Parts: sequence; structure tokens; C-alpha cells
Amino acid sequence: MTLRPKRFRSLFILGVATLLAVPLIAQSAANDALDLEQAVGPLSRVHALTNARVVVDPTTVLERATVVVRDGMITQVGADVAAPADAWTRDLAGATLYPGLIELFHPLPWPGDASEQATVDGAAAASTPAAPAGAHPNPMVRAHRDMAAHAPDAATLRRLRGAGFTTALMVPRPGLLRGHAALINLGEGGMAHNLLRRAVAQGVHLARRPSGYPESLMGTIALLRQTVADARWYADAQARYARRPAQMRPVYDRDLAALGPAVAREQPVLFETRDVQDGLRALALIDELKLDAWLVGSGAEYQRLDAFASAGHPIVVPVDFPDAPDVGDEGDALDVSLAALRHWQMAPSNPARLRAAGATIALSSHGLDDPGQLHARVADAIERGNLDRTAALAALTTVPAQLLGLEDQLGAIRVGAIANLIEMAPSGGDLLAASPAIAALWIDGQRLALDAREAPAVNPAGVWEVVVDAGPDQQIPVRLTLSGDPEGAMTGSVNAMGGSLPLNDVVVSGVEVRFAFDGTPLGMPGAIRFEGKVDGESMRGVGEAPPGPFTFRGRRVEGPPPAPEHDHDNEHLDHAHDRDHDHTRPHGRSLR
Amino acid sequence: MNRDRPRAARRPSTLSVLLPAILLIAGLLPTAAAADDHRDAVVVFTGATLHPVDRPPIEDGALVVRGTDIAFAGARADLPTDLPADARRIALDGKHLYPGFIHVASELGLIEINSVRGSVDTDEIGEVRSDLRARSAYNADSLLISAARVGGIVAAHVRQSGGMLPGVSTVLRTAGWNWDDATVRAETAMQLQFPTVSSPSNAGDEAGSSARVMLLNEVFDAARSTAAADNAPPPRNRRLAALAPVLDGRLALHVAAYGRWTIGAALDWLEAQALTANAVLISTPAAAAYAERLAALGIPVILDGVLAEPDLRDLPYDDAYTAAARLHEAGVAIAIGNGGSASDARNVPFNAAMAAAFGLPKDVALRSVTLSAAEILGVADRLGSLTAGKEASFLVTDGDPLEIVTRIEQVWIAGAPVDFTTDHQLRLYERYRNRPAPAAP
Amino acid sequence: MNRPRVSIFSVRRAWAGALMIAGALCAGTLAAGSADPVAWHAPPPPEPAVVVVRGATIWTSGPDGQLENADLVVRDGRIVAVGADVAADAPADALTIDGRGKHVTAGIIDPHSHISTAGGVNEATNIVTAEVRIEDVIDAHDIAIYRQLAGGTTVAHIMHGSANSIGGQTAVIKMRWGQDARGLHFKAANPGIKFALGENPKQSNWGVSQLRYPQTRAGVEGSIRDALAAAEDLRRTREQHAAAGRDAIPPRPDLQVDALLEVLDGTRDVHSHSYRADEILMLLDVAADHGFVVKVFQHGLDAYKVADELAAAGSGVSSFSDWWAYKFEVIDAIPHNGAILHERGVLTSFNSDDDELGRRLNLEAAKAVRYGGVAPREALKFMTLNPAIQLGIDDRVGSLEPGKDADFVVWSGDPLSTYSICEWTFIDGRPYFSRARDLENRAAIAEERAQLLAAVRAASGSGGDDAADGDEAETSEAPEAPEASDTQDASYAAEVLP
Repeated sequence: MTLRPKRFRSLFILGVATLLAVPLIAQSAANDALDLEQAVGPLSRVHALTNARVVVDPTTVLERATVVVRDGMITQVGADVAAPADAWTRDLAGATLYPGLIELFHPLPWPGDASEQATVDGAAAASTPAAPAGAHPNPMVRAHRDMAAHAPDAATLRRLRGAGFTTALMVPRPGLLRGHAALINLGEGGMAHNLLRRAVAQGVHLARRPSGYPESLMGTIALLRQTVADARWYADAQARYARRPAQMRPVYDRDLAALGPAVAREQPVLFETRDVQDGLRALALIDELKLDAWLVGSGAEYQRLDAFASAGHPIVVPVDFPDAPDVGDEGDALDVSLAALRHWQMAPSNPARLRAAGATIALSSHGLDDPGQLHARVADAIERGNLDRTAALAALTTVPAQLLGLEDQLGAIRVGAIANLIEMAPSGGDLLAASPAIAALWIDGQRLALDAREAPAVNPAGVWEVVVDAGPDQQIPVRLTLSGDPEGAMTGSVNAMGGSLPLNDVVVSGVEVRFAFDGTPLGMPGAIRFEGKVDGESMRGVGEAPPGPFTFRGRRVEGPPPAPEHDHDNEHLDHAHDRDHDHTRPHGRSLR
Repeated sequence: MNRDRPRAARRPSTLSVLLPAILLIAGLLPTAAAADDHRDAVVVFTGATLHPVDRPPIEDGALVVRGTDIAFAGARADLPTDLPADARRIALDGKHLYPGFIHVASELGLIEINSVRGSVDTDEIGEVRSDLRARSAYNADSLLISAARVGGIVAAHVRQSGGMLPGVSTVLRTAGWNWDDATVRAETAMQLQFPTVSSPSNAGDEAGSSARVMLLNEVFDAARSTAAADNAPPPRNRRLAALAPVLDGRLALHVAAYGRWTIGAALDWLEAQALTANAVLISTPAAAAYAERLAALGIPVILDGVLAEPDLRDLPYDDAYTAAARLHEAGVAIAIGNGGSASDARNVPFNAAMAAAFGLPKDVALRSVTLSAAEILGVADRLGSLTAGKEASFLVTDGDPLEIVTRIEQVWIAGAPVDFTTDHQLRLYERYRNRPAPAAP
Repeated sequence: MNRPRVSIFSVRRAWAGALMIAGALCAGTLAAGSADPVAWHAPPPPEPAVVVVRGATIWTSGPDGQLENADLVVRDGRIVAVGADVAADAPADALTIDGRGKHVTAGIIDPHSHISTAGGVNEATNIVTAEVRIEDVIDAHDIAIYRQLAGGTTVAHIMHGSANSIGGQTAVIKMRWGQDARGLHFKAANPGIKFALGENPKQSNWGVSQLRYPQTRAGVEGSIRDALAAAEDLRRTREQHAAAGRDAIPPRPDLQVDALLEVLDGTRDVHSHSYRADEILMLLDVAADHGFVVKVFQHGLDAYKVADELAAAGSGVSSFSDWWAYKFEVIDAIPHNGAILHERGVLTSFNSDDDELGRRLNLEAAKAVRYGGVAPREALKFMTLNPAIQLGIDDRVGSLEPGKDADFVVWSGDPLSTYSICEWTFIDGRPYFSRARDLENRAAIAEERAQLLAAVRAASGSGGDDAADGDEAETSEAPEAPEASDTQDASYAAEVLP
């Protein structure tokens, strides 16, 4: 399936023209070239990357070749290419260049008005405010959202780049009909300089509302079915009204209007699924509702392989394979289901199985705590799951480019393509290794040195009293516990608002420590991230939470604690024994 | 199975069959006001097959009831010769006599309508209510007790279930003028609802990892101190004092632990507290996973409901059904309940029957809802078998009472026949099965 | 775009392939048969061209009544003969079951079930939710399917809950364990919809602070009449539009009204949750006013009080055998309900409404014998032919007659005996459950489990050199491994109060 390339190309040319016309604004201190430019004034935008091993596309490699980048475009590629006279020449000394990776599914919370968010998230359902003007009456239907209107934050860009992504399809969430996805380059300069195409797809997910219709999955599906019918009716009604104004005008609905392209099959839906049966339901609905679709897989498609392969929709396949279940050191671990054990074993083979069955797949970092885990999981898919290496690289480059109708611009190092490149460190040539050494990304011809992890220079283990400063009168004390080996894996927890939450992604780099935790239990769905510099017994830094950025400072009050024990004392009531024959609970299994 | 299929067609209703027998009995007992007269009366049942439970069945048997108790149960040929001349004689040829069922873990009398809060007296607030006694909330006129009685339940082990230590349970008859009159054993056991442990990683740790178990330990430690101190100064602590008979072995401790990992934690706790000697486990079929350990500790199990799904997804489909057999084979004494539900108490025998269908010997299944239940509850001197000296609480049936299709034709409780005509459900049945067809519109 | 529809056959073929890979991966032996606790992993049952049961007691639930020492012959998934010595010329390679001492019945049909549903059985938010469809959310991975198969249940009517006076559309499934949701769907059944009366739609036991209409039984009636009237109005509006000329804007589509119009047209059967006699009479009245027949009163525990009225209206009842007293409106429920209804000519079935009860419904039928003396053969029909008629599938299942689907159960003894167990369950002539095979497979499952545990421990214990934990950003706070369907369902919002 291609994405109406003609229409796209004109948009694209417009985008490039914009790039050329507007001088780039240096934003990142990490970019030494921009630092130089700041210091000395405008510099040439022509680069010759010489002495490179060039992975042109998954099946073509040029040794000792030169790539010439001019004004954001690749203008020359080859072994016998001479560096142009006006180029900055960078001798890569045998280091490898790959095409930049393309992420086809990166959901971002829609920064819409708080009341709308609350209605969908259920945080403030008690007092539902009036819907925004022209909005669909059900807050699960927010098809009008346009991700092109909201640039991703710096942390998102940095994390995606860290995995080697130079381009990503950003999709709004939450909701059922979630809005238009936007394809952007992950460079500096904001949306204006990075938007490749807006309204690439309409996001769909069979989500339930915590409160209010639809609270059941069947209600969600009914709402989807009704809304698609409404959208078709809406387009027809508007057309009829235009032809015959002497009748009552149809009510205005921005969301039904925004669904026009999707229901006319001029735009695919990007259908996110969460388990294999959710995926089968999506296939059935796509078929019934006559939509074009890209499926965002659950990772369990192998369980009903033929259905997914034969449906013919491209599948964006996550690689968030499950971790090994905690089965203890001995015993039958009966609390771990056979299903979970099998899934652990088989999930890494999901991409290869889908491909072998004939499905078109793109790989995605969706579902990983950090996109930086992509490579380890792709390596898993290759080693444990038997995925062909060429196919793995294609699923991150040429396949998504073709799905987008952008195979001439993205996904390969060829003349005429956008200069989106991965520059490996001289020491590590293999992008498909579990921990590839990426030195820099080139996005639109701009070199962005990666914020690479350095050898730890501090050991932040211990207990920290930290004050988060989120603005005036917003000083929140939290207690932070970090343990483990800074060279290897560190774990930790944060005590805030009376609860203890585990930390994810604890990384020590130089004197910096980075970590995150899930803010959902605190009423802030999404990751809360910290980046601090450790100086002896104190730490200070910046962070981001769903509501916005903050700063923090902390003091170490205890040294490294002893090795942690199991202390998660779940006090769930076990209703294994159905004692009371409660036939009346409205939210029990049934009402009788 | 010994079932006469066409019989059902011949006998379209329970009452139409039972009424003659009931009227007969009523005739023998001239007026309701004279109901107490049966205390000294002698009734002789002859011709039925006796299923005493404590010994093999006896064909052409005889049962003599004197007052509230059984005076003789054996072969007709061995009938005592010194029966009074005015003894009533009831011929039961072709019928079967069984001891009545015991609802071994029951909310009967404490609950009428689950969703009507005012009619529910099962759950008190507070973790430690060891001083409370279930029996004083037993509503002897409950419609549910009547249905259980008509269904062959002659006694119930009535227990509360709120908090950790909800109090002392009582064994009561399902017939009586009030709870006092109905009591078989006033102080049967201290009830303990063991705190839930939701995963093996919690159970693998010492049971004291949970805050509620720590509280439980403190309560028992305090009770020991209190019990040890002679002439302790005021204030008296009634809740700790109530635990004293548990600690010195006079009162049984019933530990209710339903979840798989909770059961293990409860056993750990009983061992740590050195309370296994007096303990009974009230549990689910998951208890069979601990069969060897239970046998070694000598802890009997009240299997509170066999008609259950496996507690873990991957277990064999019949895991709950085979649990009783596995416990029995390991040497654990078992009694079988129905999960406590009062309105459903009459289905207790069919829980035992399912266990029999899946490997429990039939005689053990019958025992599990009669004599074994009485033994575990400490009332085997009064209930559980057709034995001289025990209460005359028995059933007259047309077959195996663990079969659903078998009819219970008479129920006698402590020497008195149960009047089926006062049962709420049977009255509605009689009323509406005789409803005239409505006039055509 | 031209996408091939997924046929059952292609799925099955894929299965064979997937299983070979799975077998290799798991390095374990997978015994044949569908006795696997994981649906997608369960191999398809054998597909014998001919199945023969010889010398059994056969309860046909049909005109032939009960046959002693009889044979049952199945060919290509359909019953071809039932009777004495009809299996004489069966081919040598037929799947043959020695039925001596065994009893054979039609597959058990559960006319009121909530198994295998994902994401909630109630869309409780609105008074009328006729637009939601259980068929959309069938969870083919629910282990209840297999467990009920093991109790002889072959068909279940999966219903929306009773939170609203007009609930969602129901679905009928065959318990073809291993197939996906489409493979379970029993398309021959009449379309159905759940109505509900009494305490549940009037929120009596919800414990909610925000009350909504209706709060009384009269209000329940009013809400139903409102919805039906609105449907009739929209139909009129649509008819008017057809005559309104070119470019007139049509009425907005309304899938809820479409379902209600099917009710009014008699093409979608009403299955109404109900308990008390008053509300049963009320709905009979509403139905008469709108010209449709209530197909089945579900539960209908007080239906015995209005048995003649139900018989006159042609409505059936699907009752609990003996449940009562769990809430106020069922204080007059009696276990003789089924017997009285049956005697007075009301088409009567029993149901489970419960995952566990749904695996021993043969014994529920026995309660119609116990309470009210229904003849055993007629009592069994409460779980076979009668629910089949109620669901509009009696031309396919419900009795053992030539031409019908070969859905049948082989019992170790009298199906109404508490001591009998289900030994085989066939659907479409295929042995979806065999107790012998289930017992055999337990060892294989245990062995596979042991191997997987060993693999997990090897991966977890071998330090950083294994791909399974090669990413140092992974912490030990690994999320719990997903249960193939259950956990992932948790990714939908948790169950919450309305």
C-alpha cells in the first residue's frame, strides 16, 4: 500500500523549500557544529562524509565511499565521489553510515484542554465541563486533533534519536478516534522545520472510558461503528446541503468532518491493538467498516498468524517482548500461567513469523519503556526469534518509507533522498547489535551528536531527600532510593505522596543520573523523568512530567542500602472462593 | 443407581406424595400444641434400608425413636422386645433411612436476603471480635432454614466471617423455637479468617510479612499473657479472654483460608503458634495441594464447596472436583460444605456427590456430609449417624440422597417430624400449581 | 482493497504449521487433541469422517425418546442415523466409541451465559444500549469454554448484562475450543437482544450516588416504551425522507434504533431478564402493544405465577433451577418453577448464568425431576431441545436426529445422576473434549511447563550474556508477564463504577 505519493511529494517539496528559506536556529548545546556557527556566523550547508562504509539500503553496502549532503539532501553517494570544494569534509575513517530509522507509531498525549483530558482519563468525570466548540458529543471521538499542531518535547526527540530514529509518525492519544498522525523529522527547529506530512493517518484504538459511555469494550466498538456511519452521513449531508440549501443545515461537528478522509479511504487508520484478540477485532472492524488500515500489532500476532497475514494490512510490530517471568529458583511457580511462559518464549519470533507468513511489517519501539531498548529487542528478534537481519533493517527503514510513499526520500542513502543518516562510531559498525555505538545522527543534513552514555563517574546509590520544584508553591518532597551497580543495572524507587513507585530506566552517565517512573498512580498518566547531576552528596537537575517541566535538587541522607528484598505485600482479597453468590453487582461478571 | 424412571410420572408433586405421610404423622401427633409430647413418645420405623453411616447398610431395618433420641437402629429382626404397647409404628418398606445432613460451614439463620442489608448478620466490623457468638443472631424462623430443613439439612455449623477473629461458632438444629432451643453445641470453635496471601512470593516469606498477620500474632501473644496472669487486674479484656480456651485446648480453632497461597501461610502460622492440635482448616479445593502436610499435621479440612472452578487457570478442569478424593487418599479427615451460602444449603449433598463422581468413595462422600462433619465439629455424640443414643435427626428417602433425583419424603429432627406444609417455597408451589386457569380475555 | 476473508479452514491449516514451529521451539511434545489450557495453542480436534457410538443408552430429546442399546452414526459432522444396529456398515476407520453402559445425549445448550466476553458484559451507562453487540467482544481464549466443554456444554447464549432496561445484542457460540471468535460464532441462531426488568435496571443494588431514570418498575416500563416509540418515530421519519426529493438530507443513521426496529419487526428475539410476575405481565403487555412476542423471559423466577399468561403469549422461560433469596425480588422464587411452567405448556429451559454452573447443567436438569416430578426425559430437554428452540437453532442442534449437527455427549452413566461424568463432547462430529485425552495430556503439559520454567531460569540466572535480559536499562521491576488474553484485557480500563 502506498500513500498517494503525488500528493505527498508536493507537500514534501514545500517542506524542503521552507527548510532552505529559513536559517536554522541553534537550540541544542549538544551540537558542536551549531556552536561553531553561533561563534563565527553562517557556515556552508554542504558536507562530504568520506571514507565511510555506507549501508545504502538493507541489501547494498559500499565500502570506503563518500556521501555528499547539500542543503539537507543527499546529492552524491559512491566510492569514486570527490568531496565538493564548498563542503565541510568529515573523514569517517571507515565508520558506517546507515539510513536513519523510521518509527511508524509513536503515541503522544494530546496537550488539549485539561477538561477534555480529564473527561477521557476519568480524573474529573464528576463535573464534566462543556465540550469544546463543535466537538463530537462523545470525548472518545477526537478525530480533529492534528499532531502537526504540537511539536514533541525535547525529551521525546532525544529518546527517539538515541535509538537511531530520524523520522517518526506521531499519533495523538487517548481516545477511540484519536486524531491525525503527523510524520516529522526528529531534528531541531520545531514543527515548522521538521513536519514532513500532516494527517498521514487517523489514530484508532478500542479504548474504554473509565466513566461514561462507553465503559465496555462492546460499547466502544458500537461507538466506532456509529461514528463511522455518522461520518459518512455527515459528508453526504454536507454535500446535499451545498446542493440544496433550502433545508435545515446539518449540525456542525469538527470531528465527523475530520473523519472525512478516513471514511472515504483517502487516509488509512492507524489501528492500535493491545492483544491478539484485540487485533482480530480490529481486522474484523476494518473489514466491516471498509477502511484502509495500518495495524499496530500487539506482539502476539503469531498466535493467530494466518488471520493477520491474510488480511493484507501492513503491521507495525512492537518489539516489547516480555521479560522473563519471575518464577523463583525452584518449584512449579503455578502462579505464572503457561500462557505467560509460552508468550515469553515465543514473542521474539513474532516478527519473523509474520514475515514468513507474508505480512508486510515495520518494527516499532512502541511499548518499550525507552526507545533506546529497541536494539536489544531487535537483536532478540534476530537471535531468539530467527528474524532475517536484512529484513530487520528493512522493517526500520525501507518498509516504512514505502508504506509512507516516501521510498525516494526516506529509508535509504541515495541521491535525492533527505539526508537522514546514522553515523556509527568507528568502533561499532553494526546497527543491529544489541548495543550499537551510534556516534551521531544526521537529520535534514544537520549533524546531531548523540547524547551518548559515558562511563559512570559517580555512584548515586543510596537514599536521597529530593525536592521537586514545579513552580510557585509547588515544592514536592520525595524520597528517592537507588541501588545497584552504576556500571551495570541500577534499580530504585521513589516515595511520593505516600506511595512507593519503582523507577524505570535508571542510567548513570558521567556525573549524570537519569531515571523515570510511571506517574499514573499519582494521577499523572505518563512517564515522569528526571535528569540530575551528582556532586558528592548532592544532586540537582531538571525533569519532565505530563503536566510540564520541573527542576529538582536533592541531598543524600543514607549510603547505598542493602540488597532489596521482596517487600511488595499485596493485600488483594482472594476471591478464589466465591462465597456470597453476589448476583447483583452491576459490575460483576453478570447481573442476574 | 436404583431409580425407577416411570415413577416420576406417577408422582407429579412432592407434596401430593408427602402429604399423606405428613398427615399420618400429624394424626399420630394429635395437635401442634402437643408437639412437646414427643419427648417421651416412642416411634418405631420398620422396613426401610438403614444407612447408619457408622456401619454398613442394614436391609429390612428398624429404627426406634424415644423422645428426641434414637433408642435403637438395626435390623428389624433385632428389634427390642420391650417396646411400649402404645409405640407408634411407621412402615417404610422400600424406603431408605439416612442421618440428616449437616451444613458444616453455614450462614443459616444469620442471613435472609443477601442484598437487603438489614437482613444480613454475617460480617461484623473490626478485626478482632473473638468475644462474639454467632448463635445469638440465629433467626430460627428464617425462610432459608425451612428450605434447608425440607432439603434434608438437620443441623448447621453457624459462623460469622467478618474481620480476622469474628467470634465463636455454634452448631444448631434447623428446627427449634429459638436459638437456645435449637442449640446442639453452643461453643463449637473460635473462627479465624486468615489474612489473604495473594502470591507464592508472599507465602514463601515468613507469614509475618503481612501487617494483619503481625496483628494476629500480637493478639495471640497478648492472649497468652492474659491467660497466664492469674487474677489479672481490671479492665477485663473480653476479646482476649475469649481466646483463652483456644490456647489451653478446650476450644477448637477453625482457620478459614481460601486462597492457595493463603492456605500455606495459615499452616505456617498454625505451626509457628503451636496450635495445630486443635485446628480445623475451612478451605477451598485448593487445600488438596497441601494434602500431605495436612495429613502429617492431623488437621481436618472442611472443604467448603466442591462445585468450584479450578483456582488457577492451568489446573486440570476437574481440580476442584478431585480435591476431596486427593485429601482423603492422603489421610486427611474431610467434611464437605457448599461454600457457606444459606439459600443453597440444600445442595450440600450434591457437592459431596461431585467429589464421589471424581474419585471419592461413595461411602466417604456420604460420611463427609454427616458423620465426618459431626466429628470435625465435635458433635458426633449427638449427630451424624443412625446410632442409639444420638439425636433422632434423619431422612426418609426413596433412594440415595446424594442423587438429585432422589426424593426426601420425611425429615425428622431430634425426634420430631418436619412439617413440610409450612415451608415458604412448598406453600407457593401448592398455591400456584393449583391456580385455576385465567378466564379467557 | 481485496482482502480474503479468513475461513475456518485456513486458520486450521495455519494452526498445523504454527504448532510444528511451536513444538520445535518448546522442545516439548504436544499431545494431540484440544486439551490445552491456552486456546490459540490448542490443536484442532481430529476430524473423523465417520463417528460411531455403539450399544449406548441414547436420550434423543427427539421423537424417538430414549433408546436402549442403540447406535449413533455421524458422517461429515452431521448425524446420519440413531437407533438399534444402524452402525452395521460403518467404515473400519470410523472413530468408534464403545457405548455399552454409557449414555448419550445431545450437547448441552446453556441459554444464558456470560463466559468468553472481553471488556465487560454490561454497557451500563445508558438506559438503552441496543446498539452494543456481544458478538464484537467474544473472548475465544476464556478457559471457561474448555471447562464447560468438559461438562458436556456445546452451545452457549452469551448475553449482555442486565444493567439497563434494553441492553445489548446477544450472541450464540459453539464451544469450539481453539478457534478464534469467528470460529465460535453459531451463525444459525436467531439474533437476540437483552432486556432487563426489576431491581437491576432500576439500580436497586448498585450502590451508586448518582441516580438515573428509572428507579421504579413503572419507570422501567416507561423507558422501554419510550425507546420503542422513538424507534417507530425514526422509522416514520426515514419513510418520509424517502419521499422528500433529491438532495434532502437523510436522517442520521442510528444503529440503536436499527436494532429496536428488528425487535418490532420480529427479526430480533427479546430475551428479558425478569423475576417478578408483575414485571413479566408488564412486558407481555408492552410487547402486545407493539406487536411482537417476547421470545424468552430469562430467569423468570416468579414465572410460575403467570404460567398461563406466558403460555398464551407464546413466550418461553429460561430459569435457574433452584436459586433464590439472594435479593428481595427473588424471595418467592421456588425450585418447582420449571415443573409448573412445563406442566402448563410454557417452553422451559434452565440456564447457568455462571461459569462454574455452566459445566454441570445436566444436573440442573435433574432438579426438574426432584422438584415437581418432571419426567427425566422431559427434564433433560430443559438443557437440550428446549433452549435450542428458544435460540432458533432447533433445526441444527438440541436433539439427536438424522440431519442435525453431531453435537453430542457421551456420559459414564445416567446424565441425571450426580455420579455420572462427561467422557466425550462432540461438536460438528469432532471430539472437542475427551476425558481420556485430557488425562493423557496433563503429563505433556506438565513436562512442557517444566521445560519452560527451566528455560526461564536459565535465561534469568545466566547474567547479562543472555539476550533475554541483555538490556541494562531493564530493571528488575519487570512487569508481570502477560496472560495471553486476560492480562491484556486489563489494558482496557479497569472495572469501575458508573
